[in-house]
Amino acid sequence: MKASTHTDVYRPFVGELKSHPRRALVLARAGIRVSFKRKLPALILFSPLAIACIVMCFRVHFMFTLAEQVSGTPNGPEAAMMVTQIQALLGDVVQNIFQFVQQSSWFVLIVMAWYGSGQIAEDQRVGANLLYFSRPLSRLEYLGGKFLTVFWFGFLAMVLPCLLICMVATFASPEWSFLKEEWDAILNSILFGVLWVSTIAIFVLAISSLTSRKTYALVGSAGIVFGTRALSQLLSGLMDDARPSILNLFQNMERVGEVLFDVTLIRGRAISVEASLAVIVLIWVVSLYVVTERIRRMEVVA
Amino acid sequence: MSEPVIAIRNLVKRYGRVEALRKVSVDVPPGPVGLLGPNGAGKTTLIKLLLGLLEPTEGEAMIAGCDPSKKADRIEVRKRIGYMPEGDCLLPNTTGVELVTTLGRLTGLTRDDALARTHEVLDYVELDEARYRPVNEFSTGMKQRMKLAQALVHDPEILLLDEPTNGLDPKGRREMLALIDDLGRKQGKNILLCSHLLHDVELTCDHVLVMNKGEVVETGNVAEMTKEDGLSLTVTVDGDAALLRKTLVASGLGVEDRGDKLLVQLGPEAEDADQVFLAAAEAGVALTGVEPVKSSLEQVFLRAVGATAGVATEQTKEELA
Repeated sequence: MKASTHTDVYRPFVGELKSHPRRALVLARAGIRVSFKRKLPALILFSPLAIACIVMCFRVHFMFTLAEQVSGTPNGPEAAMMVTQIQALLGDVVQNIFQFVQQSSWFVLIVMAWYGSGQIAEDQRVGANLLYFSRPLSRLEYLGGKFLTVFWFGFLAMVLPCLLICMVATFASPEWSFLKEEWDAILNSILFGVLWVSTIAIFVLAISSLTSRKTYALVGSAGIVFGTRALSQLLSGLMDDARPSILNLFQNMERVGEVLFDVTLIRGRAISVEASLAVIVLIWVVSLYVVTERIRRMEVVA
Repeated sequence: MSEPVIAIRNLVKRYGRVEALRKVSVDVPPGPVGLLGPNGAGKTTLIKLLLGLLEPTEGEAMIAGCDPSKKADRIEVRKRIGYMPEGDCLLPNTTGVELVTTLGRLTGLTRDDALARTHEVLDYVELDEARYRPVNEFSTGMKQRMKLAQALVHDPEILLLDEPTNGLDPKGRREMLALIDDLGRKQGKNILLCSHLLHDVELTCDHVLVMNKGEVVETGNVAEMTKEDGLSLTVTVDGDAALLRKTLVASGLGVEDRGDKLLVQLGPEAEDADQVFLAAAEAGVALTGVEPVKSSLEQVFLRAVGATAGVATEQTKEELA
């Protein structure tokens, strides 16, 4: 039985089409909604990151609480010593945040490869590009929508935990000292997270556009990143030289991160920050070229 | 003829050395129009060119006054067209409502309008509770309805339907044709129905374009093309049919046995059935029925496609010589 609202009579549309709809956002929202429908992968992929983030938040909180208890109510030389202690502590917190970012970057790569590898590949496999590009959707909007979808998962996996940790540090630090003294660390966390996540997003989309199977794109994305890492280590070992580490995306990002957070993880690195930035720019340029060219072919076949 | 919805001039499309469209020039009138042709005739290529999904090698195709090969026009024209692709192009893990709403919003509908229109068009194509199920669980018939619904969500003035009855059972096919008929004849949509099923086109379209080997080989009004052409007559005899047959053949007419009737092919110059009556009088048999044979679209199609095939054969012979 049909509901009373049901009608099988065709009703013409009496409204108007929007002249500038945010099509990229519509596409991204649809992509995110569909990707999150499968709960088990989301649980498996995000649980370790969520646990690590919670542990890190507690750690930062305890560091400040402990420092506050030890210092008591100081005056005179004790006050000066406490200021020094807090400054050292703040430096530790920043280093902790960077280490968290650096260690979680592996998981972030897996999360983004999982959710991003099917974005364009699946459209090509089922021919959904015919549905999209028979609409007034430009190639840039399509790319924007797909990029935002993948970026969102990276944001959830990396940038959001960083912001949470910074927030805990801000509230736990005495007299908002973390916010006052280390505000640039918050900005750098966001900047580094966005750089890492956007680089991975465009790279994964480029690989996804080259195939019509999600599995191939997933293997390709992870394989290239881990493969170049293994190759750089092998070459470094064979040549007894650290310079081949320039092939390793993680090393390059780490190098940029060291400069941003003003910390040193490895002393006397063989690669300069300029070289690392050049590699990252190169990845961007090549990935953008591949993905735009492939999308152009998806829209219009010459 | 009223202003054409689609105007194509010298359109050529080559894929490497293969020529999919050969200097096609045709005007497509408003209303439901069938695009007929055997597999590989160039129908889908033509539709994709009209959508701007393919770039023409030469020539131009204007649809609703826009040239889809130009980027600016391409976006404009896609607001006014609803496209139902041939392939199974629905994204898995998306429900019917989600898919149609998203595509509606991509066309420019607001969130509220998109949702309301989605339910209206899904009601129209009679996808009831199934609209909340993932599309990858749909049957072929449901997928075809779903594709029609997404093409209709923004209420376009032109519908390009590529093989809409593919894979449907007889009931589903009848229902799909009823929807297309309603859209074309009652809702005033301009439809280009691409099909290799003649019956579908005959039921739903007023005009027809016949394509073969990348060329438009026949075009016209379906009613006029299938009208009584007066060239053939079905004759029922009371008496010695064999004798009448012999007399007709002796008069130079073509005759075929059709059960208890005779199918008589009159000459091209014949204006009436006098020759048959004279032959019957000569043979001394009484005629109990003389009916003109109405051409079916199939005959028109076969004639058009056969004629091109003939030309091609002659060309091939000349090339060989």
